[in-house]
Amino acid sequence: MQLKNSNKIALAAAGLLGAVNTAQVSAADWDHEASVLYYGESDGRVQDGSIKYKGKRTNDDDNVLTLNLGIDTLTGSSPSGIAPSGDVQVVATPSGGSTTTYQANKLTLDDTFLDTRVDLGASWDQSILDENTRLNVGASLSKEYDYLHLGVSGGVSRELNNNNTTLSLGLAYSADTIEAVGNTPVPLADISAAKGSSDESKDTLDFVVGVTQVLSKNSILQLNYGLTQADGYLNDPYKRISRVDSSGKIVQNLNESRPGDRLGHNIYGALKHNFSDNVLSTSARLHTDDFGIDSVTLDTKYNINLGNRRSIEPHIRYYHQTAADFYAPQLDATAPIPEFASADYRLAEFDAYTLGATYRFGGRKGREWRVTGELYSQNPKREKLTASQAGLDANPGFDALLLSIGVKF
Amino acid sequence: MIRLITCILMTLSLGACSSASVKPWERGNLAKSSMTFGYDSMIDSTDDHIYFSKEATSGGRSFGAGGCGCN
Repeated sequence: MQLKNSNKIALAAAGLLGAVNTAQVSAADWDHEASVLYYGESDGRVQDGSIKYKGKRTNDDDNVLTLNLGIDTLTGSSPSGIAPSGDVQVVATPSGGSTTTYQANKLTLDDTFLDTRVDLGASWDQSILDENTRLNVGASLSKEYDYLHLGVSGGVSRELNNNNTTLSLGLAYSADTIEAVGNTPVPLADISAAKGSSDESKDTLDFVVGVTQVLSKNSILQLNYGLTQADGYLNDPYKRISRVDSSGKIVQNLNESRPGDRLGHNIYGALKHNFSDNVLSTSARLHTDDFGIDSVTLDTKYNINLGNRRSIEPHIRYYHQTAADFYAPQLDATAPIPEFASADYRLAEFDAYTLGATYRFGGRKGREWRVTGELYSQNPKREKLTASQAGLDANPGFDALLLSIGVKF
Repeated sequence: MIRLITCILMTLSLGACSSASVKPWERGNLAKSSMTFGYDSMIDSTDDHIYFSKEATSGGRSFGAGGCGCN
């Protein structure tokens, strides 16, 4: 059943307001957390500055209200999808209002990227039926210049086996609206062609079932299965793909085209083990979906207690994904245009690595501070272009730096 | 698909049966905040949002992150 947009907004607002009204607000019972974040990619690509806040109130009945607020400011440039060429290229910008010039032999970056994103969330968690069964409901909203997200979620969990086992079940629905600058490009039309509608929509349904199991006095395990179904406009309205002839000449640039639905499955396992004063946290995730993308993620953190309310936690993560069935760095101009095609670097085959650490220390009045630094590196599989484009790379990958300072109070 | 779900449910059942022996008074180490899944949810959500923006797959420990037209 499709809800009309006005109903979706009302539903989300009711969730937010209802959760707030239910709580008997008392400042003394709140736990707060705030952070500032810088994220910056190499070669002048995306730069992000953000602030986040989370407030959590637990009342005498062990009911928990959680509120979240985040503000991101993004700027920089993002790969356009247009193939690199030995020639200077002058093409229409995604908004269609002007042109941009791509230098010869360079990655084609769209530098018109500038946005501010605000996100809000609220959730309410309480016991139902008995003290071992809990219900959680939540709502979320985020807004950018060209994107609106509204979401609701709900879940139940039950503790069994002398609280050694927790079973959980969750469902989330989000309704997003995409209002591309200059209207929505028509898939696989020339980038200079007339645009389509002023907005498009995307609906996403998430289902998660899981179990958390105490294995011993020092070990705890979590296993989850998740299913995600997305329907609607799944394109990136600012990504293009080039048709290139055998001489390496770009014959035409098209708007990308992706299928209108996507079904994905996740299996996730996480283990925590206490070694004396230190804690190992490790997880693995397997993913598959009908875009043809399979991925594996391995993540490990090791929290080392330094004493005197100080700890350091190194973090390492490995990620690998295969390419989407319809991913191509460029199209052969002599071949028929396929039904679906995208040169979006995020749909390519690549490995990614994260290496970082979080240092935590106790402050005055029981505050807990942390400083996090991480390096992220994305290394795509090198795709072959035409002989005339030898030495050019449509997707060279990038490195990113993440710095964050946070405090719990 | 049915096989996958059956396999997962069997794994979950085995997990549920694996240990009922940890008593409340033996939970000192399990009660540490760092032994709680989602202890530092702000770091987790920040990382998940970045990965959601830069990679084609998301989710796992919770619902798939989302709610942006990230570049």
